[in-house]
Parts: sequence; structure tokens; C-alpha cells
Amino acid sequence: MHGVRTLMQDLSQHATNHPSKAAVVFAPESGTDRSITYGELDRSARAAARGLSRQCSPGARVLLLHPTGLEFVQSLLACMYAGVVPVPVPLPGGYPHQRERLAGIVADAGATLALTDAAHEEEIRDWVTGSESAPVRALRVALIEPLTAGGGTDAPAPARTTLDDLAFLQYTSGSTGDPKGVMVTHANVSHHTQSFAQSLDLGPGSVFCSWLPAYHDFGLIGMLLVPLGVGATTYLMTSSHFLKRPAAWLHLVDRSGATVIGAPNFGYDHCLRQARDRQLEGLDLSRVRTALNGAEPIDPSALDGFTERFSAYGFGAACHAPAYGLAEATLTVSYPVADSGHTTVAVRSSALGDGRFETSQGLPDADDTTRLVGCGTPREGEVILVDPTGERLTEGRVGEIWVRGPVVAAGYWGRPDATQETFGAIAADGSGPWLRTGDLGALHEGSLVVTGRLKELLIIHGRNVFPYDLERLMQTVHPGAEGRPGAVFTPSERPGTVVAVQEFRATLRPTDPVTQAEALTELDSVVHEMAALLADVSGAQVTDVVLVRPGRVQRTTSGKIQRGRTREALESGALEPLHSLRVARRSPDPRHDHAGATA
Amino acid sequence: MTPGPARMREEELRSLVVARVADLLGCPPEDVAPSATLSGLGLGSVQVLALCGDLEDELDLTIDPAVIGDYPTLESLGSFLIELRSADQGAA
Repeated sequence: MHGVRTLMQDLSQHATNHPSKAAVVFAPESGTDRSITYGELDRSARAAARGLSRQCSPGARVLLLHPTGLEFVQSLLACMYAGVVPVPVPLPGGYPHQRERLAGIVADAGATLALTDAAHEEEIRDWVTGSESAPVRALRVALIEPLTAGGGTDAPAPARTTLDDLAFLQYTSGSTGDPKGVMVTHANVSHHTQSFAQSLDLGPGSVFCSWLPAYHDFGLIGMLLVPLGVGATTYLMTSSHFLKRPAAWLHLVDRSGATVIGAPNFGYDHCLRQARDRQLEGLDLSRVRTALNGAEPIDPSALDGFTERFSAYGFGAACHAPAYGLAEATLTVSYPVADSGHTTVAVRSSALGDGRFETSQGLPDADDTTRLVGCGTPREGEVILVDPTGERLTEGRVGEIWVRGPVVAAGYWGRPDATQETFGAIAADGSGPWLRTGDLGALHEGSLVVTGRLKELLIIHGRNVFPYDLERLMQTVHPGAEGRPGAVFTPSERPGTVVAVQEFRATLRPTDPVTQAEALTELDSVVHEMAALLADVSGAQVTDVVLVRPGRVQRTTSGKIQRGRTREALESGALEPLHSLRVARRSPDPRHDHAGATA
Repeated sequence: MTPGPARMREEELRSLVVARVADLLGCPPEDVAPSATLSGLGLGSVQVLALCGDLEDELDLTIDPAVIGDYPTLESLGSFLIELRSADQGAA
């Protein structure tokens, strides 16, 4: 059985016990699978660690710049074996906001080395030399291939690393301009793996199958470190492969014999919407035992829809494992045990707003009913729900979710104040320190039910996006929006998408017959451009962009944007839009009129 | 039966692009201007990749999602696909 010890100790043991067993298999979009055995993974990571130790001192932060694949896994483990701190991040990409965020991470982590692979060397060197950020330009670039090829029997002993050492820094928190690195220790990882292994009955016989980005906590911990810790095999594919053709993931699940799969809510929904029947011939999902669902709010109708559609392919309803967690608690805080299935509960929406959790009995009033998903019993730690004064709440009340226990991370890298604020909460009864999650929830029949967020945060494709970051960008589109408030939020009827309402003063008046056509073209152009910016930066589908007259975006007396109230005003029809994307979709995008006509 | 990729005419291909985008947006095809841009219509990264996958399957082509950004409007994407298809058939 798995005990509390470092991942490297576990890996070495698996390498000794079953050296020729596949640890990680990567399935590319075209071509044949590439795989690495436990024996080879352990050997190559040790060899690379030896080389890394010559380039970095223990505890140095090393940026991991690889797409999902075997090189990522080798680099990650090489860092751990070398006693340096890996910082998994997405590749720089083409968008300025991605580069801005990445530069913020490099500076915040104080990273001095970027580890990549031969296929991405040019891209990374171009990014480093062309960057406006001094910390990025100062990065040294190293490739994993020559490091793993080095001989390595006298590699540094893994025992040097203790459970209290950092396993990695996870940058999923904080806004674009202010990224925060969660310090995840080896003890956190080990406790998390142990908890997963017991509750989900995992072991060397388990098979995982994931398309989740490996730099993100769900993919990194849930679908990579857990299987490596328990000695299982994990099959990986890229997220773009999945997003293009979700049926390809389902077929990989079948082909690999996967017993554990995982995705945020939108991934299951994407399978429902985008996998075509003709692509699913012969699919067999009957070996799946656990389908983890986390990293974003869970829509019960997506779970039901997935079961309904895929039960014909052997998927069992009891496989759904809706989970609640956050990077600050390693990954998961609460989830159902294997084979138990999930619960949904219908509650009165009006009561939720007042902090009361009231189930709808008998014939529920559909207009006043919200269906919520239970995320199982909290594991590996303690969860309480508290009111704004820190008073513990009893069942039937909605409060902020506070967590303590061995999976709670060590804080934010280099941020004592932010660490104290988030990780150092003291309850009214004097207990603590607790991790305050910012999420609202209630306990219902022993199961944790998440009801919303204390602070406004958009969760898009499992990533946290701060409305403020998007609102700031909208003002840059046109002088008519500059310095004027806007609100970005998720519409009630389309979870996972975004809507923007922006105050706007048109330079041309649509009421003047002389300039009418020109004025409409200007408004068309503004909403198209705002939609494009929001879609590019957030990655979300933008269901509408609504321009309104100054003063229409709801604010508090101190000027804080009230997104919820702006949403209510829009959805009740009280906003009187000047123009909107819904209307403008029928018009050509003036920014590309010529390109479109001549291409 | 839908016509095979080889026999699909250019205007059919252009309306296929509009129809797929309208599907993703959840609106009727007549609400989508062919000269509109994908991101200007509000399509997020997930929808753009899904569109790529759909078009690849319908047209039996391989489309590099990275080049989609070079053909921002539905019309220019349609023209690109027509070129890609004829290049593909020329090579075959």
C-alpha cells in the first residue's frame, strides 16, 4: 500500500518492481503511440537530474515549457530528482496576453532556467530573446533530450529531497498582472495520492486517460502524478486534439482500457455536442470506473446528458465523480468514493441568495429551483462552512468553504501577505489556520455542495479568469469606451460562455440621417472588436457584447462594478442597448470587409 | 446523402462553413454574415477547434488550427478550404 513518502521514492520502487511496465503513453494526433516504461522514466529522469544539478542550485525555479507529452514528464521528474522546483507553464503562444502572463510568472517565480525540448527550442529562444521583460530575456534555455541521454548511475540520491520540500509551483491563481504561485510540497502530493488511491481504489492495475493540459493542476496531479504514484499507466493526448475531435479521446479511453478519466464539466459537454454518432461506432466505455469532473462548476444536466448518450456505449451512471478542489489544496478536497455515484439536489434559488440551503420538496416551483451536484464527502482534511464573521455554520446554511489538512499547500511563493490572507484564516471559535477558498457551499447529507463564488471569478474551460482583466481590455478598443465602466459575466442560460456590457459614447450619432450608416458601421466594428478580444483572451465563447449609454452599468456608491446586478438588468430587458453583437452578427465585420471580399 | 468532398461545389462549401459556425453559435445560418470574423462573432478557442475538426471530417482534409487565424472571416476561410482541397486533389 502507498505510504507518505516522496514521489521519487514511489517511482524508484515501481521501477524496481515492474521496470518494463508502461508509465506514460502519449497518443499523437497522427502517427503511432510513444511510451515510456517505469524503468526508463526513472533512469532518464535521474540522468537528466544529474545534468540539471550542474546548471542549477537546489531550490532554483525551472520553467517547464513543453506541450503535453513524454518530454514534459521527463523534465518534471528530472527537476524533482535534482531537488530544483519545476514551474509548469503553457507555451508562450501568439497572443500578447499569454506572453504578459508568462512574463509575470517568470518574474514572480524568479525562474532562471527554461527547460524545453528540441521541437520547441526555436520558439522558446525567439520568445526569450524577443521579450520586453528583463527576467524573460535573462532566462537560460536548456533541452531535455541531451540531459536524459547522459549516463546516470551516480545520479543525485532522491532521498535528499524531503517531504517538506517543494514539489512544484502551480500558477493557476491570480490575475494576468498578478500571478500567484501555489507552493505544493511533496507531502501535499503524497497525501493527495494516498487519499485518491484509497477512495477510488487505485493501484498498478488502474489505467488513466487524459487530454487535460499537463501544466494545469487537474492534468498535472490528477492524471499524471496520481497514476505515477500508484504505479498505474496513464495515456495522454493534447487538449487541441480532444477539442477538435472529442470522439478521439473516447476511442483512446476504449483502446487503453482506461479505468479513470477526468475532465472539467465543459469536456463532458463537448463530447455531448461535438462527438458525432458516426464517429462512435464500436466504442466501448464499459471499463471506465471513475469519471472525475472538476475545475469548474458542474452542471447536473451535463452529467445526465453524458450518461444518457454514452450508456449505449457501456458508460455507467455510477462512474460520475464530481469533485471539488483548488490548486491551494493540491487538487481535490471532496469527491465521491469509487462506484458510489453522485447525488443531485434541487434547492430553492431564492433561499440560496439569502444564504439558506432549502431543498425543494414535492413539486418544485421550476422558476425558483436550482439543481446542484453533490461533490461527495471531504477527504484528507477538514472542511467547514463559515459566515462572513468566521462563525461556523450548520447544515442548511450556505457559507464560505474553509479547508485545513495535509493537502493544503504551503502558501503563495514569495507572497507572505497574500499567503496570510488566504491560508491563515482564523475562525470565530479560535481554530485555524484555515485555507479560505472564496467558494460558497453547503453540506447536504454529508456531501459538499458548491453553490457559487464569494468573489466574482469566471471559470472558463477549467481556468480561472478574472472579469477585471477582461473589462480593462474592453476600454482599449475605442475612445468611446475609454475610462468607462463595463461588466463581464456569465449569462444565466449559457454557463461557460461570457457576455459583456460596456458603457459607450458614440462619436457619431445613429439618429442623424446624414451619419446614420457610418455610425452603425462604427458600432458594428466596436462590438465585433470587443467580442474578438474577449474570445481571444478568455478563450470563451462570447454570447453577446452589449453597448449601453453611460450610467447603465450597475455600480456601488464607491464605484465597484456590480456584475450580478448588471446581468439581471440585461436579462430582464432593462438596459436599452445602443447596439449588440447579436444584432451585429448579421452585418459584415467592418474590420475585415476588404479582406473578406478580396481573399 | 451529402455530396462527396470531391463533388461539393464552392458555394456549398461556403454555406457549409456558415452552417457549422451558426450551429456552434446556436443561431440560424441567416443570422451569420459570411464576411464576419470567427472571433468577432464571439467564437472562443474551443469552438474554433471544434469547427476545425468538423470541417476536417466533412471535407476529408487536414487543417492546421494555427493557420485559421490567417483567414479570419468565414468567406476567407471558405476560400482557403477551396484552395486546400484543390491542392489536396491535385496532389492525389
